[in-house]
Formats: sequence, structure tokens, C-alpha cells
Amino acid sequence: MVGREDVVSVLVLIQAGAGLLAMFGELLFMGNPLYLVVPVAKAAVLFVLAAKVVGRRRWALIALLTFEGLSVLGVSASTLVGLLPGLDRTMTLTGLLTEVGIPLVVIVYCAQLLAAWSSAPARPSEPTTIAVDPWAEVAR
Amino acid sequence: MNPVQTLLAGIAPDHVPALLAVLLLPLLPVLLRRLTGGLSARPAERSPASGNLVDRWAAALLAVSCAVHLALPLGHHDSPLLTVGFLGSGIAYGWLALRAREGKRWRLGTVLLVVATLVGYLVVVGAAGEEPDQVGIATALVELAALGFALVPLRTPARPRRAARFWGSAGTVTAVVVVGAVIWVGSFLAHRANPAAASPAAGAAPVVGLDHEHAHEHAARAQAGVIMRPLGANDHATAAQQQAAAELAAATKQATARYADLNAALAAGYRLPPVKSTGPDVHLENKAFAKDGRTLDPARPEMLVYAIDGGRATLLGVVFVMEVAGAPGPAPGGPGTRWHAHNLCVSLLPPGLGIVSPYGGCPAFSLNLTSGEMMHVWVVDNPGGPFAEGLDAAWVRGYHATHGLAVAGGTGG
Repeated sequence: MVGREDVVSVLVLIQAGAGLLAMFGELLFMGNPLYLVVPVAKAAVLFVLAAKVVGRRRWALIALLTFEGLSVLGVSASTLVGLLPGLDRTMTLTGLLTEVGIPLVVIVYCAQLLAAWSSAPARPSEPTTIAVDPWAEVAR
Repeated sequence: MNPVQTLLAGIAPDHVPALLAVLLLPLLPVLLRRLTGGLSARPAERSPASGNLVDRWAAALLAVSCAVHLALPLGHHDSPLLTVGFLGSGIAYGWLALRAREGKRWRLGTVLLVVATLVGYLVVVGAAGEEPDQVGIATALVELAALGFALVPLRTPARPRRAARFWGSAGTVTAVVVVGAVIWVGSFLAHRANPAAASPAAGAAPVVGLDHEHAHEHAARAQAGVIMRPLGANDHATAAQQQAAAELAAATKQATARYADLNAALAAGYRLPPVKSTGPDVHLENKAFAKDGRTLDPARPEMLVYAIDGGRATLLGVVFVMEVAGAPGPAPGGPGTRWHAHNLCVSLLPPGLGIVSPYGGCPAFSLNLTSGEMMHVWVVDNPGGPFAEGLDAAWVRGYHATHGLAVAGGTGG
């Protein structure tokens, strides 16, 4: 099935947009532009990774796997901290989609792509060049 | 509320049929195969599914949107025009889903349809005609994903299409941010519309969370920063409940009169917040009262709310907070004394606090947590009554200008 990297790319772009939106919730609350830095940097990195995955860069897949793994770890940490008496953890329908659904799909697809690219190391997106001896015809 | 109750609280009753339609959607192909099995027995006669995963994802997302739009009139009971609009867009989504599944052209139609339906939804939300809920926002997310698949062209070795991919990607990110931002603003507008609207008769407890026509409940179903406990079927306080609410308001006003002077509150153990210690709604917390095991005690409110500005402070009200998060607070006034919680983002890098976005997320390096239930009781005669969800900032500024008491010791901006 082709197009797996394109699916990953669009899902990551959705995550980038959702991350930028989440930034406003903190920016308005804290009123300090310092809170722009990490979310904007994260969105920029995701934007680049989305492009590089479609360009079949192996490092981009590994970076995305790491990022999504950390995201899932963050959700797990929130759930654990939410077990404390004074705190709780709210899971919303959209939260399930953006914090659990999309990261898991991206992890599965990235792992599948990584396995597929490992078994076929040449990058099919680039034209295959065959070394040709220009003097062979002359010598013949 | 337990996690399931909270999840369900985000779903507007009007939208339950739409959500059920989506949940039943995976059964549709099986049903269709059963129904048409006798008519087209040979698989060769059926249109082949596209071999591209993007087409399949787009087909699935468009089918979800089709199911939602077709089922919306079952719960909405809107005007005939809107019903026709839902059905028409649902059919169009279904047609595009079939085209995408078969690998036919679907991108341009998807872009036009998604933009049209999202603009329509945002107009309805922005005009505060409809309070955004989790089903509406999730559907918008699904449509945004379909838009992304339509906007970002496929890359092939022969055609990298870098510029088109860049602009398609930028457009997708922008659409996600803009749609979410408008939904968020719409959610705040619905929240703010309440206090001014719920003007109670003298001495009576207002039914917190009903709109000005008492036509539908304001339940903060976007769940973006505020989690309201649902009213349920019984959304009007009885005479006894109104009396109990009025007594609670009077007892709170009497017990907290001693904190009219901010310095008295500080001396009693209340502490100014580390950020935003001036403004129209400064919350001072008393850590000892927060852990004293007492609930809804007018003499020991967990928080006090002041307007602090220009070297003066005005006590506006209190916040009663439940010690154990998730535990429901007592509501002597029934729907008149309604509790809510806040879902917050506690960021670690840099340390800070924010509210959860309508997409249910937080910035990077944040924990997504929810506070215990809390309830405001205002001790000033604000237009929304003693149990309003919030105060109008302009009204507070005017009240503070005439009632603010000088703060000694440099506190108070």
C-alpha cells in the first residue's frame, strides 16, 4: 500500500497546528512571550519532519517516532499525576483523537515505514544512477 | 465526576445521534454487502478500492463527516433550511468519500465542501448561536484532516511538487489554528454571555448555566479550560433549594466581611498568586483551608477573589474548592449552586500554567490536569447574582473604582 508517508505527513501537520493553538491557552494566561518559544519551535520541527518523511528521510522517521513516544509518555504521566487526591485527569473526545489516536497511528506507520525502508535501503524517490563507462563504446 | 461522566458531559444531547452514526459507520459496508449481495455477486462488478492509503484515509474521514451531517437533523430539530443544508452536505461528503475510495478525483470538491461547512460552523459558533461541543469540534478536526489530505499533493519521484506541498502544508496548519481559535472564542463568548443574562429576582438563586431564554443549558462542552457539571433533567431550583442558596450566599457574605481589607486576608493565611497578582479577578488561596477537610464552609473559603488595582483592593467573592478532585461538591441550592472544574496545562519548560485547548491538548512539556470541583459565591451585588459563573470585567472596574479599599504595605499594583 503506497502513501503511508503522506498520511503520516498530514497527521503531523494537524499536530503542529493543534500545538500552536494550545500555545495560546498558556500565552494568554501567563502573558509572557517566553511561552511562545517552545510551541513555535515544536511546530516548526514538526513541519520540517512532515516534509522530510515524505522525502523518505530515515532520520525524520526516527525523530518522529521519538517525538510521538514522548507525547504518549506525557499523556501517561498526566494520567498518573492525575491520580493524586487534589488533581484529576479529564479525557475529552478531541483529546483522545489528538493526544492518543494520532500519535499511535503515526507510531505504527513510522515503524512500518522504517521496517520497509530497512529491507529496501535504496531510496526509491531518487532516480537510480548506473555507472557507465563513457569510453567503452569508443574502445569497442 | 468520573472520567466517563466528564467525557459524556462534553457531548451535547443534540449531537448524540451524530456520534452514534459515526460509531455505527463501520457496520455500513457489511450491511450494504448483505443487501446488495444478491444483485452484484461477482466482485469484479464492484468498483475497486484505491491502492493509495491517502485516498483510503480521505474516504474514511469524508464518510465520518457524511454520517455526522446526515444524522444531525435527528437531534437538532432546526429550521427546514438548515436541515436541507445538513442533508445536502452529508450527501456531498458521501459522494466524495465514494470517489476517494475508488481513486477518482476528490481533492477540489473536498476543499470546497470542507471550507464551506467549516465556515458555516464557525459562523454559527461565533454568533453564539450554538455552543461548541466535543462532537462538533471532533468533526471539525476530521474535516480539517480531510482538508489536509486534499491540500497537500502527493509527492512522486517524477514530481516532487515542493512549492505546492509547502503551501498545502502551511494552509493545513493555518486552518487547524484558525478553526480552533474561533471555536475557543465562541466557547468563551457562550460562557461570558451567562452572568449578565441570568439576572435573578431579588433574593432568588439564579439557575447557573442557562442562557437568557432558558432555552438550553450552557455546559462548557468545548471542555477547553472549564468543565461544568451537567445539570441533567432537573435544571430549575425548587423553592427550598432557592432558599438554601440564598442562605449560603448571605452566610458567605457575612463571614467574609472581615476580609474586605486585603491585609486581613493576608494575615489569615491567604496568599497572592505568583503571577497576575493585580487585575479584576485575583484569586488568593489559603493552603490550610484547602486541606482542612471542610466543604462549603462560609467561614473558611479555600479562595478569595479580589479586584486589585491602583493600590486598592475590592473583595468580590470566594471560591469553594473540593479537597479531592473528581469528588462532587454538595449543591444545597440544586442547579442554583453549580460546581465546575478547570482542565489546565501545567508546563514544565518554562514553568507556567494555561488552559487546555478545544482540541484537548497542551503545549509541549506540559501535564494536562484537572482541578477539583469549585464554586464561586460573589459577595458583591453583581448583575449575575451570587452564583454567576464569572463577573463582567467592565462592571468590576466600575465597582472597584467606587468601592476599592487602600492596601497598606505596597500590595495592590
